[in-house]
This record gives sequence, C-alpha cells and structure tokens, in this order.
Amino acid sequence: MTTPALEVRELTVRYGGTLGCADISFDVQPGEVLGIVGESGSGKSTVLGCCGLDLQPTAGVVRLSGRDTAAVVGAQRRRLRNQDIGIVRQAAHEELRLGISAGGNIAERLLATGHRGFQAIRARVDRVYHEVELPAGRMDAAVATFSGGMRQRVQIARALVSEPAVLLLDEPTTGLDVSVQARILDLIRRLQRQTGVAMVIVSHDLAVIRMLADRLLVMRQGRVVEAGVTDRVLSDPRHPYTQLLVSSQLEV
Amino acid sequence: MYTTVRESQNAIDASARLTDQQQAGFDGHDRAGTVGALVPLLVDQVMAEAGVVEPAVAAKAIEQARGDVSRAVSLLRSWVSCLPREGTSVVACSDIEVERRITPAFAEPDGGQFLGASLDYAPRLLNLDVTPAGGRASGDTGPVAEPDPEPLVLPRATTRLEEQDLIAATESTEPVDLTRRASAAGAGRGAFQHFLSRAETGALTALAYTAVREGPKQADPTLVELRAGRLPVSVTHPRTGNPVRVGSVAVTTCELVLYHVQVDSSGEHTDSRFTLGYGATAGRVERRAISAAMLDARVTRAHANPPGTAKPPSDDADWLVTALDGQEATGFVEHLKLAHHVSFASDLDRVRALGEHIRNDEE
Amino acid sequence: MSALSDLLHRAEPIHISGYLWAYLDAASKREIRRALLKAVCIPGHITPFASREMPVARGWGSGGLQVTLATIVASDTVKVIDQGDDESLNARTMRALIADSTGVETATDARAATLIQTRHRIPEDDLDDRTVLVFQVPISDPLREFEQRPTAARRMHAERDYAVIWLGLYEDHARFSRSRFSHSYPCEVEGGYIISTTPIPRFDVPRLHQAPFLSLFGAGREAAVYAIPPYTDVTPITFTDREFEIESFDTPCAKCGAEDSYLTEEIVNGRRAAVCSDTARCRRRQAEKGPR
Repeated sequence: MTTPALEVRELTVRYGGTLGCADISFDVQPGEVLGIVGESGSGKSTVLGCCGLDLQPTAGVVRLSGRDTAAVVGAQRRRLRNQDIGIVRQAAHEELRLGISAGGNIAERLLATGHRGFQAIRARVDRVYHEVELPAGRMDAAVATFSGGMRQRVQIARALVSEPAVLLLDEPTTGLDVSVQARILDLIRRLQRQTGVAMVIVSHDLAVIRMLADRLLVMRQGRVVEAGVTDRVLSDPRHPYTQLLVSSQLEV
Repeated sequence: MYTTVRESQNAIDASARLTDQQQAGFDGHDRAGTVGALVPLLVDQVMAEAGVVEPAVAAKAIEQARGDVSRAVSLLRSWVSCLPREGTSVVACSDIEVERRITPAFAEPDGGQFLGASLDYAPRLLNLDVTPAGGRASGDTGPVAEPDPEPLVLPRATTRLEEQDLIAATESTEPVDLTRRASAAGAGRGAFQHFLSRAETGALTALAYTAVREGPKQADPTLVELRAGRLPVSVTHPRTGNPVRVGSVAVTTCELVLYHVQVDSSGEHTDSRFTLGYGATAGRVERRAISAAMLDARVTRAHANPPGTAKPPSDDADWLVTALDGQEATGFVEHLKLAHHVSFASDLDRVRALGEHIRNDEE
Repeated sequence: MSALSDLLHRAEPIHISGYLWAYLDAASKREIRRALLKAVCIPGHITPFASREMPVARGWGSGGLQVTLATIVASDTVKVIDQGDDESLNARTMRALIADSTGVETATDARAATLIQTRHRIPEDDLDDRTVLVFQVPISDPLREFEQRPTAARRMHAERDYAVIWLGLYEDHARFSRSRFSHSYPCEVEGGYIISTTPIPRFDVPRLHQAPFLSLFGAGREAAVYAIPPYTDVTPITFTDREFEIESFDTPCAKCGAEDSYLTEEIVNGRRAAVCSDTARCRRRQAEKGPR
C-alpha cells in the first residue's frame, strides 16, 4: 500500500472550554478526493485548519506524506505549507494580498521556498496562470481589480504552483454566481485529475461534494456521524442527520 | 532670515539670539515657579508623559521649551535617563491617600465619593477679567471643609464586583520599568501599563475614543472608579532593612469595566462577566487614566477572542506601543526637517529610471 | 588593537565640562556595549537595547549618538558627517556634543578618523580596519514596509521569512523591469539576516561587502542596534538573473571633476549642477588640482 498523502488520527481541538472537533480519523491517498460536509459550526473548518497547519491539535496526529506535522515547527512548518500544501479559501482576501498582482500572489510561494531566478519564476507563474484560464494580459494587475470568480482562480493557481501533495479547499465556490461556480468546479476537477493531487474539500453544499468527492465525511457538532463512498452516502444515507441533509438539499 | 545649511554655525547662533530676544519680554525673576503656579495641569501632563515626577524641574523644562509639551517631555526624560535607579517602591492602587474619588457605576460605594478639587463642575465660560481671580473654578470665596489630618485610604470600588465573581480573570502583572527595557512589544501587561502611563495624552485619548466608536454597542465602558490622591513612596532602609517612607507622588487611577458576553463559534455563550481595565497616570490629567484603562480593557478582552478574530488598532497592544509614545512620534515627524539630499538623490535616480521605463512601454 | 577588541576595553568615565565623560553613565554604556557585542556576534541581527533618552530628539541620531558615546575612547579621532558633509547642521550638533563631553580630537579627513558617525553616507576614501563606522538609523527593520507589528516581524527574522521582500522585488521587475528600492536597499548579511542599509544610497552598498571596517547601526527611537563585522559578506537582494543597479550620474562633479563619486544636485554659480556629497574629499581634490 502507498503512503497516504494525508493521515488524520483521533484529532481533537478545543478552544478554551469549547469543542472544535473530536476524535476525527481519516486517510486521503494520492489522487483521491475527500469531501467533508456539515452545517456551520460542525467543526469541518477546524479539521481543515489542522490539515493546513493553521491550527494546533489539542490531541491526535496529522501526517503529511507520512511525516508527523506536530514535530515540524518554525521555518520548516512554513516551508511545508508553502511547498507541500495548497489552500483555497472561501474568502480570497484571507489567502491573497489584494494590493499585489495576480502573478505576485502566485509567485510568493516560490519566493518563500528559495526560488531566486526571475525568468524561471516568471515562466512557472505564467504557465499555471494560463492553466487556470485567467485572462491573458492581466497577470501584473492587482488582485483587487479581479472579480470574485477570478480571485478563486488566482487562489487555485497559487495553491498549485508549488506542485503540492495535498490541496485543501474550504467552501471554494460559496458566494459565487451559479454559472461561475460551475465553471470553477469544472476547473478544479480537471486540474485535480491532471495533477493527481490529493484533495480535501469542505462544503455545506452536497452538490459540490457529489461532483468532486470520491469519499465523504458527514460532521455534526464536532464529530463524524457518517463516512463512506460519496455515491453510497448520498443515495443511501444511514444516519438520521445525513438523511435530513440529503432530503433537504438534493430534492431541489 | 533664511540661510543655507552650510553657513550653519552662524545660523544656529543667530537663531539662538532671536529665540532669546523673543523671550526677553518677560522679566519675572522666578519663571519656572510662575509656570508651576499658573498651569499645574500642564506640569502634570509633562511629568506623566515623561514618566518623571519632579514638579519644579518639570516647570523648568516647560519654561525652557517655551511651552512645547513634547520638547519639555524630551528635556525631562533625557535629564533622568542617565540618573541611577536607587530603588523601587511597590505600592497597591488601594494604598492611595484619596483626595478625590468618584464612582459613576455606584451611587454609594463603600467609603463614599469625594469630589475634591476639580474643574469638572465649573461652567466652561471664558473669563476675560485681567485680575488674578480670572479662571477660578468658582466665584465663591467661602471656606472649604478643613482637610482631614488622617490620610483617607479606601478599598477599591471594583471589590464589590470581584466578590460576586463578575470580573473575568486578567493577566496578573509585575511592574516593569520600560526605560530599562528595549521594547514594550510582546513584553506583557506590566510593560504595557508602564507604556500607557507615559503615552502621549492626545494620542491616548484618540485611540480610546476610536475603541468606543468601532466596537459593538455592548462594548461601551462603564467607569467604576476614578481616584486621585497621593501614593506613598517607601524605600528599604539600607541598615535596618525596614521600609521607610520618603515621600509621596500625585497620581490618578481609573478602573472601568466592559460588559461583554463571550460567544464561541457555535453560538454558545461561554462566559458572562465584565472585562476589567486599569489605567494610572502621574498627576491629575484624568482623561489619561481613563483612556489607558479603556485600552487596557480592550486589549485584555481581545486575548479572550477566538484566534483569528480581526483586531482594530485599539485592541492590539503591539500596534499601540508602536504609535502612542509622543517622543517617538514627534521625533520621527520632526526629523524630516533634517537634510535628506543624499537619499533624495537616490529617489530621483529611481523616479527617472522608472519613468523612462514607463515612457518606453508606451511608445 | 583592532576596533573590535577595543569594544571590550573601554575607558572609565571622568568628568569634563559638567558632563559625565562621554555623557552616558557607566551602567548605560555597559548595557549598550553588551548589545553591540551581541550584534557583532550575530551579524545583521536586530538587537534590542534599552535606548536612553538623549539630549537630541528621538529620530535625530539618538541611536548613533548612544553607540558612539558607549564605544568612544580618549584616543579616538572622531569625524561626523550628515549627507557626506562635515558642516551640515546635524553633523555640527553631534560633533559638538561628542567633542565637548569627551575632549577627543576631531577630523574631517576620513582617513585620519578612527570613529566616524554618519547619517546617509559612507565616506568615499578607503577606510581600514582601525575604523569604526556608526550609522544613525531612522528605520531599522527592512520588514517594516511589509509588517508593522514588531512581534510578527521578529518571528519573520527568526525564521528568515523574507518572502515579502522578494515579493516586492518580483512586483517591481514584473512591472518596471527594475527594482524600485532607492536608498536603504535590503541586503543579506553573511547568508542569514536581511538588514536595511539605512539610509545610505545603493552607491555605497558594495563598499559594505567584505569591508575592513566595523559597521555599527544605532536606532534610538526603535531601541535597536545591529552590526556588520569586518570582512563580512553583504549581498544586496537581487534575482540571480538581474543586476543590482547603483545610482548613475551622467556628469562629473561640477566642483572637483570626480567621475567616481556620489553626486547631489545643487545650484552652483546660479546653475543646476551635480556636486560631490562627500565634501571633505571633494575639497581635497579641488585643492590638489590647484586654483583654476
């Protein structure tokens, strides 16, 4: 068996007296897509935060390509985030510098991991910029001048430019127009298959999960209530909460 | 008179003569003493911002600085910077010998309220009389109550809330002398308190004000107690090892609370208590103590927020310590008056080079 | 004795003209020297110290002055320049304070000086390993432009997290094909920390690389010192395939005719002209050329 790209074991996070998530375990193999679904406050973003090394687990283990991330601190931790993990967030401004050009935002992860040849950086940024189908001629324009959908594309390019082992998406299309949303989901699916990156996508929207995820975790109040292959969970939900979620969303 | 900086020694001498001439109109024999008597609150402000309590010297500094508060503070601070620190005297806020005490949160606090001497209650009418009586707090020349011979020491009004467990726990603090430390940034609440006690009065007030304007309505502070009085200073006797009172300093302290219900990310209420803010200043410029207490409360409460919560400047101790010191701010702003032609030549070089690039692009 | 080992053996204070010798009390001097030694041992590291209030305003060279007064010895010969000029206002004020409180010799010839306090320039004469250069620093941290919170900036230095500086450089090259940094150019010291060469022009930056002299940087307002020990690598931040550009001047000095000096624009005989900013060297060259 290959080493999973991402391994989470008995992950628990507490904020002071409040529970973020409890006893979460899962693997994501290279090339596989895991969906995490649940309402807001269910703990799914907490799980993703630990995978992205933004949050420190209270207990449990997060391994990245077999390596225990708790032992990785300081400059190494930052390098890991800039090299081996790509993140796409719902709010683009949390990940992007709006006053900096699209190209600069993409280049930053290369600059942070020691790339120092301008032409080589420029060529790599240019390639991924066009792969995410951003308009030619806008690469040196500030991200602040980009629409919501374009900003998500910049985030995807930024995440993928370092050729990461794991891509984490936190509600990547929430808040976008339906048509824009569909095109970006198509893009994510195409690039995921093309690169073979392991992916975790968090969403409250079952349509997004159904389109992208191979397997699925359903979370509620910080715990996993149901897990399984996406088609099985969505066509034959067993936990009453999943049944409620499926009936309320997929009938539309 | 304009002059190029090259002929500078003459210019400096001439400037000094001109400055002296402008001051020659006043022929009082005790100018510093007059300053101290005429504008005691100005002396208090200068001492507070300097972090030095020595009224006669502060009055001298104000006179020498011709009323420029920032410069007077600079003179005082550099005067003490190389003096040895002979000892420390750790005193509690409750040790203050009270001369004025008001408790807006409670009508009848334990020990009572005392208005003391204050301009708060006089109408703000400009008195254009040229007689020395002009500007008095009251037209009344009747007798006031004889001062109590025994110093008045009172419990903190906040004790009442603490006894009912209505105050959220705060970081306990050790006093820190910032003049013997490199930086207040990240040095904890004790250092932050010393920093606030010396912060520039206008900047302190402005930031405290923005804190109220930016926050949710429930973030409005309620002033529990403002007390002004004298704080006894004791040192350890070198032979006997006993504490010996060597004097006292005028101080104003403030305690206030923010009403605040802690809500976690799932919407659960996790705590319902007040956040306490504490501020202290030398002298009697009371808005200094109030503003410091407001910022202390905001910073304390921000610690309890979930990680990642956006902080306005008023809640960010790191930001505040970079902005509120009057000497750092005026020093930087005024250094712009120094010659910069070398760095400017470098700027010119870049402006021309980048301009050329832009023009070539357009062609 | 080299300037560096000199730091360890400095004179006891005595009184001259109402000041303590060299103004600062012994405890302050000790503390500043301790910070300087640490700074020398960790080249380029922004080293905090308890900056004293000095009889000059914060931001008017109080840091450089503290460094000078903490390291000066009676046998030193001091040169003070501002903008390369011994006669500018700030230089005069500083020199008077240093000389009056110590009685040391002063000089305008950089080659004769052992301690040079400077704002904005490195003297253009060759300096040797007997010289200590003290820089007056307004803004010590090259990250300040990008990160204003001191604790965050400290973390970034500790982790050598300088991507934001490189990002600024990337943006400049993408948009203008050259860097926008004018003075205070960020430089990597001995392959580690990045410092601000503050605020000397790029013209002077190459002279810091493997320099025989000791450079001490003092920021009084920001309560920090940093240092470049003698014979240390100082590398301006540039992409491997891009040149580091210094200021270029298309005319020689209108006064001494030098073609290899840093020029500033002035009005000479009613006309705009470029003249040397290092006035002592310029005057010497004019004298050597003889009267016209």
